[in-house]
Amino acid sequence: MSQKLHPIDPLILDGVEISVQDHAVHFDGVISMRSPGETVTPFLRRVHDAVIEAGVKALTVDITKLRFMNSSSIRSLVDWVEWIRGEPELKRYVLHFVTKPDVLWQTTTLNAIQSFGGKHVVVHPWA
Amino acid sequence: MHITNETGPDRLVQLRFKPLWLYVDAVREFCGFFARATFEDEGLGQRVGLIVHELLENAVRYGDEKELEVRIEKTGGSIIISVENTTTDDKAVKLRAVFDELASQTPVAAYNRALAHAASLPATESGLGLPRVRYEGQVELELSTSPGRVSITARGNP
Repeated sequence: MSQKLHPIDPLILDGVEISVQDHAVHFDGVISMRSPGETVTPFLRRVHDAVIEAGVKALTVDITKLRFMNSSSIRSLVDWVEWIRGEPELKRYVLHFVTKPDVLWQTTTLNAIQSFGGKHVVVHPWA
Repeated sequence: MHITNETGPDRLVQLRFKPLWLYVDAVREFCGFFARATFEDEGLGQRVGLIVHELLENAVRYGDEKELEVRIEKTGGSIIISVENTTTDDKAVKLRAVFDELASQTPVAAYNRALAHAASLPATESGLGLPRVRYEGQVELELSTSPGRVSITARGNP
């Protein structure tokens, strides 16, 4: 049975906001900082820890309002998938990315992440 | 920053500036807008923005913070994006090694391999930039080097 995540303060940086509501993470803006490992990655780790603690099996990641993401930040998503893989089978969950098809990088990047992430990543083009 | 916008059929944009992180977003936005407006192609504008961003990021990270030039040109049916920057010889040698490895794999295989390898790198690195440009930007990449200077050229069809 899925439970509620404990509250997580949004990450608000120059150009981007990442927030968590219910079982969904929302990205809004542009992620292009030089060192996302100091900000974005720790935030996603807090989300991951909360999901594991709550026993949630599916998390929506809405990037339809994310206009650009640099390769350094894609690394943060790769780390996220690796954290899920590193959990015991019963605790693992699925990331359901919602993308906007007319933003081309979202399709190409997320298809690559899906290929890499296997059953832990599902991509849903937003109609 | 020096900006030239020539009306001739070949060189469309030439930007020369100090390679600082501060400028990367603005140059991506400008080049993406320029390509979108010039070729009246939204998808091409997005691809150009992505390519310019990743090549600039690469140049800022691995250059020597002295000199950088971006060019967008059209030759025949191809769009050519070049980023040339000053750097140290040891960094140029490392970049050559990265290119040699890229050239040995298809774009999709290189990108998948980079994704699988990324998490094992130090937190400050991703190793995804150039494989991403090649795969997502749908371009061929070439590296040319001369003493203290490197140039990466991305060539693709609109």
